[in-house]
Amino acid sequence: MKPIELTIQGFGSYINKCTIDFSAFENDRLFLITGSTGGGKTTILDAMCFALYCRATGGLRSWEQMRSVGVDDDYPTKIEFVFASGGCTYKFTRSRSIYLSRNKTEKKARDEHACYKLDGNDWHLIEEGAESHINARATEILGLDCEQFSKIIVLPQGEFRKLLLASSKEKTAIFEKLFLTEKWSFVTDRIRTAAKELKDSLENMHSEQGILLSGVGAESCAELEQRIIALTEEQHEKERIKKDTSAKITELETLIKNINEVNAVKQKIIKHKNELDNQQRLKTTADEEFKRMDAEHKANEKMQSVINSLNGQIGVFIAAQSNASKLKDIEKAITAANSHLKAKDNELTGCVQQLENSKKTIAAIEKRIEQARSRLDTKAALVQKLLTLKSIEKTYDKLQNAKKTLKQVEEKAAVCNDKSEKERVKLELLQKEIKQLEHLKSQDMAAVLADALQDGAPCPVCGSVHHPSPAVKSASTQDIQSRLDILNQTADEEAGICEKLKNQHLSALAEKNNAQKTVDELQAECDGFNIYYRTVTDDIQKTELAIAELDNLKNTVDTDISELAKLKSSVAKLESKITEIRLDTENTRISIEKNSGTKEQIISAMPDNISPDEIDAKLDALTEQNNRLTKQLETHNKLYNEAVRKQEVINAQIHQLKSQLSEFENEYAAITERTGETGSYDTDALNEKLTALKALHEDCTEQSGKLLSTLKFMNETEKRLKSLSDKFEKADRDYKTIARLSDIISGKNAMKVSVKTFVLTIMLDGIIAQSNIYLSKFSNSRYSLHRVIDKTKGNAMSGLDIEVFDAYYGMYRSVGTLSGGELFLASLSLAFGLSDVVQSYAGGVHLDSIFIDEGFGSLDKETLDTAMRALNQIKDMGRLVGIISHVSELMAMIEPKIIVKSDKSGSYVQVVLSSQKM
Amino acid sequence: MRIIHTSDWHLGKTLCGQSLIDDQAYFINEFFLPLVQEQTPDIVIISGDIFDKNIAPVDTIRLFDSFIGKMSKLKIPLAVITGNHDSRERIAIGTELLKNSGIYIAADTGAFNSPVELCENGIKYKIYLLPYFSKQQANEYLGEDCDGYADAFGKIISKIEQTMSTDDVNILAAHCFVSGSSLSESENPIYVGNSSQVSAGLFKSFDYTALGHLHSPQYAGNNIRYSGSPLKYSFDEERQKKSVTLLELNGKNIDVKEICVPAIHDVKTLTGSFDELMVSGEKNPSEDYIHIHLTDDFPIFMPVDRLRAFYPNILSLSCDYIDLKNEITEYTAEKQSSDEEMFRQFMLQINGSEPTEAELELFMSYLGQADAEVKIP
Repeated sequence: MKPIELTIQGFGSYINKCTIDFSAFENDRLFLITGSTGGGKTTILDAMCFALYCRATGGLRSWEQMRSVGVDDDYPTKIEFVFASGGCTYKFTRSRSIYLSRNKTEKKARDEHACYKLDGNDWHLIEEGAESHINARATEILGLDCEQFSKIIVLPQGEFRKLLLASSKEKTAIFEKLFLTEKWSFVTDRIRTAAKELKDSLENMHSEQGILLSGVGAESCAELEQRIIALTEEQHEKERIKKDTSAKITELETLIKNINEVNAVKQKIIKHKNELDNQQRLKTTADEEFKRMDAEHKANEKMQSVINSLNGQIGVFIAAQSNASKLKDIEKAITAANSHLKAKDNELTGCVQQLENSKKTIAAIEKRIEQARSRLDTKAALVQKLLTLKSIEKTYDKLQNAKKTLKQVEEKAAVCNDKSEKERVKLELLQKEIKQLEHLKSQDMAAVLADALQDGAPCPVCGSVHHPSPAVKSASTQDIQSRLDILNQTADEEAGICEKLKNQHLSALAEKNNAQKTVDELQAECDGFNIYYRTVTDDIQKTELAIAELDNLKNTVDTDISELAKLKSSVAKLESKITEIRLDTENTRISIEKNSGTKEQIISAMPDNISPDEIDAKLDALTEQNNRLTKQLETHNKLYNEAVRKQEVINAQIHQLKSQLSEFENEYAAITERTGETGSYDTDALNEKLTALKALHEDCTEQSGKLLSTLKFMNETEKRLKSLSDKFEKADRDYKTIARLSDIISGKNAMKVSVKTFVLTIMLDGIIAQSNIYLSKFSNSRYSLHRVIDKTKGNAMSGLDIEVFDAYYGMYRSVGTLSGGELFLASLSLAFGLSDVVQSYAGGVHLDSIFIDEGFGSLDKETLDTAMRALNQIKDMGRLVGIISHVSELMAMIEPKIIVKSDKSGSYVQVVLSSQKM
Repeated sequence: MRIIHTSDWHLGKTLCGQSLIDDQAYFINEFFLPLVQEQTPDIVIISGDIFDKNIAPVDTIRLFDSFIGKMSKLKIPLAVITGNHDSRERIAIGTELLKNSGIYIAADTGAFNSPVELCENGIKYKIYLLPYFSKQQANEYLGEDCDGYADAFGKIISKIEQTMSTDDVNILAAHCFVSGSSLSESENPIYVGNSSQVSAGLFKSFDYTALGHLHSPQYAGNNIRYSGSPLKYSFDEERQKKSVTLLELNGKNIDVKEICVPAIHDVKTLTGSFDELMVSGEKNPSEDYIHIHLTDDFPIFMPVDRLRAFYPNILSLSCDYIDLKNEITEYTAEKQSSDEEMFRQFMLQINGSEPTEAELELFMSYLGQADAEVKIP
């Protein structure tokens, strides 16, 4: 396995994406990974292991622990590892990102795993999906699982000694996987199973033999043969007897048959004669009965006419019954109608009364409405009055406001005036001062001029040529000038202010004039009214009250109107009702009359002297009588018909019997003639004899048959026994060979070593021999490794434990007694030896690289030099050796480096190549 | 002009765990300083690898400190360049001040810009001090990316040549590996690889090149010389004669002499069987640093302890019993037997006899099945 390129992101301390190109070390083959503690050196190895097996080296850390701390959830952790193994290039990618679950409460991880193979220039996807599948692929491609990877390709920090110190069992597991020694255990198992199978089959055969023999009740084959012969003879004898008996039987049977036939016919004849006599007797009885019946029959004909007249009577009575019920109904109806009539009369009286009252109320209401209407007409005039009064009021108010405004304006004007005066005064003062200063200045001007005077030159002022006493500058010319400037400025400002104020005053005056005008106008208007202000208000109030009262009245009127309408409608209803009632009463009287008429009719139509109540009883009696008679008649008819029939039947039977009898007598004559027998034998004795013969025959047949089957069985058994014993001998021979071999190769031998263990110990010896080449170089020929051979124990050669020979003391020591540095060198040698041997095995693993994580820190300088020298030689053999160390001497010694640096945004690498060029 | 040239003192070095500080102290105090006093050279040049480690142990610092002190008292100039074992920055403390006392320590790559100048009879002798530098440091100094170590070295040399004049006698002190020279075990392995070799032709413009780095006193070219280490520092140096170099210069005429260095403890290997060694040990016990090589082909019980009676300073031991004379080679498959062979071996060793034909046939047939079924990736 040779790494080509590793890309990591969000893994350990590598937050940003970081790519390490191992192919740059193709020529150097020995390189150093260095950097400060915690920078991320071991993380590089972890990333390689993770990409393959999804576990950090040593099988410990998992996704959660390796994902960078402090990255955003949606920042994915990605690892991509490209490497070559067994001539092909592969790429493994793993990534994990965190997202919120749908209900926004849980954080879930989304993992992606995939592996590819390089095909020409393209990556061809081998598999993607579940973590375990990809892990299995890695194991398949490399031939190592995670544990072994951590022991052989990567020697992790502090764990390099694991292989050296592992127990025999653990070593067995590791080597079995690496060297495919499974087949030896496979063979051992198979042979053992085969041996067992053979043994089982031998046992089976033996027991089968036993069963067969016991099945025939023999102790041995010889005995069986004799028995067979005896039984055969017996069977033949039985056969002979059988044939004899069967002939006799046939004879006897014919005789018996003939006798039976004759007897049968005789019986038949006798039976028939008896039968015939029976029938004759029966016939006599039947004839007598018939005579009797016939006489009775005639008497019953009269009865029929009686029944018919009864039926007629019954009809009449039924009609009468229905009439009676009709009569009852009519009487009921008449009573009902009378009461109805009474009720309606009462109702009528009530309605008429109500009508009177309503008419009275209507008249009253109408009068009221008339009165109210006349009053409402006055409303319009009142409203008009109100409006006028209101406008007068408004005008008065306006007048008041105008007067107020006038006062305000006057005040304002006065104020302006004052201000303006004040300012004017100020301005005057200023101007005075300015004048004074100017005067002073001008005095000084003189001085200024005086300065410029020269003797002989004329003075610009006076023109004199002599200047005996020129003006003296006052000390403060400058001051004056500046003060003058200030004053001038102030004066200007003041003037401006005065101007402004004056304008204000003027505008205030104008306003005042306007206000006065307005006041005068309004005053004139008010005077025009012929009503005082005080009165106006009172009038307004009164008018408003009156209007309100009128409104109330209107409401009352409306209510009255509606009530009137209601009453009118009720009056109409009452009148219609009254008419209805009158009509109804008329109709009822008419119907009463009709019903009374019908009642008379019915009473007259009743059957004579019978009241309607009695009709029912009479009807019942008649019906009963009718039924009785009808039944009697029927019974008699039946009996008569039956007697007739019986007679006929008997006659027919007698006829038949007679004919049959004559037939049988003919038959008898025929048979006796034919056989000559007359049936005078003792059939019982004959039958007995026959039975006995038959029994004997049966018996013989049965026995013969049994003997035959027994013989067949015995012959078969004999055959089988023979073949079985042949097989047994052969199997026995085979078993001896296999059993012996099986025992030996599974360890049941003097040395107690199985073939699998033997093979492993040979391999381990090979590995150790190779390791010792390295170790002698590392330790300056002081140490060498050996496999522990403890001859005192039972499984002497099965141990895979390793011990160390120290030349200084000439003794063997356990590996645990080595110091840290020495242990490191021994483990390193073992690892190199192992990888050498593994590679050369067919189908073995390809270990083209090895990574050593720390361990050099425990060596002193000299040992370090020795180790480096040895590693140099190893790299020349074509293997890629990567060392992680922080030891500074190594940094100086090894040129090609991967320097791991870190800043606040995570770790990153810097690759330094050697200056050697090929 | 008389110059003493030495190098590779490796103060603080241990040999198989034995500290050599006493031998080194002896060398400095009992041999070198008296020699200097006697010969009164005009300058002493130490061409690198003063200390053995970057962070030198305290007693070695004291030793060197006392040496510098004594040199300055003797008023003899001392020029020191740092080698690949030294830590430049640590040695460079007080360089400016020391210059006033005649101690010139060159630790910086650019130190060659200020050569030590000596004058005699009107001839200027200029000694350029070029300490050891890595390719990285060369790139940094030159400000460009050089194409290999040799290229960088060449560029720096040409920078020196630019300031040289051929009227002067130009001497260069440098610390590097010139190709064609012979190695011994005690030089740093990897760094002595092909990658950092320089060719002798680079030094052609110098009248003498005083080199350090290799421990065997030798010429690397015409007037290009390694003075070698003053003590034997590994067992494969045991045949070397350790010396310091004494130069007599008269203008461009240079006369080279070696002055042998005595040591308290010699370094040697004794080979023989254990009994022989016991015998000769009894006859000539020795306190030298010894490596024992036993020729017995069976293990000896506690050999070191027993021999220590005669050779108290045994540093290491090897024996033919372990020492596999092979170099590290590829593991060959000839050691691996075929399956059939293994089975035969098994039966022979475990059962005591060869397998019968029937057994062999049976076994091989099952093995064939196993091969077919067990998957081979």
